[in-house]
Amino acid sequence: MRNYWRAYARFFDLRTGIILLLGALVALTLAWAAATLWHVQRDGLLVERLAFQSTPGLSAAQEMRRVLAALRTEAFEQGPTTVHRLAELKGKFEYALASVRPVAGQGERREVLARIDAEWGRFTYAIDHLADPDPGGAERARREAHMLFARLDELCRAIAAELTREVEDAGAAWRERAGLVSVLAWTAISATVILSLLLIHLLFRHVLAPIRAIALQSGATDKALPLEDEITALGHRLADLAESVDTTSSELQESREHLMQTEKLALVGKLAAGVAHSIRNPLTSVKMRLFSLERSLVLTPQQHEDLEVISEEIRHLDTIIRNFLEFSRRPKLKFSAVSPSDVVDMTLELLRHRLESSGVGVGVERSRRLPEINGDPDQLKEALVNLILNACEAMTGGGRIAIAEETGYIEPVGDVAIVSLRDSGPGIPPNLRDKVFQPFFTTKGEGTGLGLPIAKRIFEEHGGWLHLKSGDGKGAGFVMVLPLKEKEGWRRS
Amino acid sequence: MHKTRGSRVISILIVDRNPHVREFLQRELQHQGYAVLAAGSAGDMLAYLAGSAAPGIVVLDPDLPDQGGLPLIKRLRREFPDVCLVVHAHGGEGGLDRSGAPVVEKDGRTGPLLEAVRLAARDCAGLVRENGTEPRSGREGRT
Repeated sequence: MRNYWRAYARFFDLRTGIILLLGALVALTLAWAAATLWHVQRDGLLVERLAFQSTPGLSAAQEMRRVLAALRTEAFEQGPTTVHRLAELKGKFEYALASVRPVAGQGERREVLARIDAEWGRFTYAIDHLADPDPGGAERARREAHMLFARLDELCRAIAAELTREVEDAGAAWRERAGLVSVLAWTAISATVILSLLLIHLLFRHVLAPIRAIALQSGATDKALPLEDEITALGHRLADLAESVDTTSSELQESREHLMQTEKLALVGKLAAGVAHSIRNPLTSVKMRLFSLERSLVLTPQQHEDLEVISEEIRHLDTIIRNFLEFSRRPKLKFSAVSPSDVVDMTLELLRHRLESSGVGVGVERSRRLPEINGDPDQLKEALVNLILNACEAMTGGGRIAIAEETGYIEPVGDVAIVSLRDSGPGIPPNLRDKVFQPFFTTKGEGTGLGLPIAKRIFEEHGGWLHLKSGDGKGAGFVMVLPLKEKEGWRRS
Repeated sequence: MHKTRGSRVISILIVDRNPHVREFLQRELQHQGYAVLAAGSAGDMLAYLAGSAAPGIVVLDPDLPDQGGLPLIKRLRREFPDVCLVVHAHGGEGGLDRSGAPVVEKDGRTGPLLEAVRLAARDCAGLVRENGTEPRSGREGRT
């Protein structure tokens, strides 16, 4: 049974349903109009026959009877105006007879009329002889007139009765047809009402309600507002939707590219880590032997310089390897509450000797200690070290680094701590601005190209970011942003 | 010349995958008067420890070809609780500071390692087993 209904539902899908209902309504209306037309036409015929045949025929027949009765009275009660009066009545009868003939002279009535015609001739003859001087002839004429009168009257009555019956029949036929038509009308009205209700139900339930639901769903923001017009609203929503699909697809494209980039970097990182790991072991062995040599050899100044250079280069190799491993391993952050101001102070303390030896002065612009953030102090310190060392290396022959601290509010992260750093070095050429955060990109002879990418990654892992400041004036500028810890907490982006 | 506890020479096992590092450390420690064994893999190390001439101190770089890292250190401490362990590893190896043993960074300098071994010899010598005293030259330098 269920399957049957399913098949039924599939056969009568929404489209078919609406078309069938509309078709049925149209067919019903047409049928009803045709029936009404037929009924009106029949009514017209009926009225025509009644108005132009039966009714005038009937009244003429009755007139004939009345004139006959008057003739009879006039004829048998001879008075002074009798002759004149009889002539008048005879004219009336003949006129009535003439008017009956065209309207009721069909079928049997034609013979009856012919008989009336014949009897009338005899009757007038008899009447004319009523005043016969011969008493015998007058008496005969009198009897003849009596008999003929009765016969004529009977014939006229028959005609009138038949015409009456005809009118009655027409009325009965009309009543019957009117009954049928009214039954048809009620049936058509009920059927129309039912079909219309079905159509309305179908339209509301399966077309308008879903459209309204879609319009409401797609525009969750103004749910409280009444929908003036679902279709218009839906149109707007669809336009919005198309726009947002556009945005989403471009975002998707962007994030796909980003993902590809990330995957590529991960692969490169893995490779770098493998290489670094393999190199580190023999390098350690080299270092051990070198230190041993340093301890035991008595060297000339030149040999000593050679050894120094070897040691220096080995240290450099060590740094590269360490950076590679660090970049690829992503150490897990150990979060604690820490003020970025403290990170700045600790970093400057850590790098004091390095800064002094490079001839770099550092100025910190701070109105008050920055609020605490949720972060890994060691990692943040490392990021800052990378940035400061980067600046130091860019400023050969010394310079200045200006660090400024402030708080701010940035959507959608909320309250943030902002630390900006600017050096007095040559700055970053515009054509390299996009590349400084790419791993393994370096302009320095001894750089690994990992310092800035590591710093950037550390800030991103804290839910913040590291940006290159737009190049205004001299020197390179960096902006570090970290979400503050307070209130709703920080969100990782 | 051998460092002793009472009359016994303290024996040290160096475990490192690099033979040159092993030889170098062996030489350095022998200069300090220890009896020194060397192993190039976790398997060799465990064989030494299970053998009759088990050493009292193990200097271990847990980066080994067969097994390594924190799991190896844990296994060592579980199966040979009497052995004194000095971890000698590169910086940045995760979790080694949780091993409970002294960790010396493997940066090429021998000073800190020798100091750590000296401390271990002082603290752990009481635990050195009777039979772990004589260096077995035949097995030295095995790779």
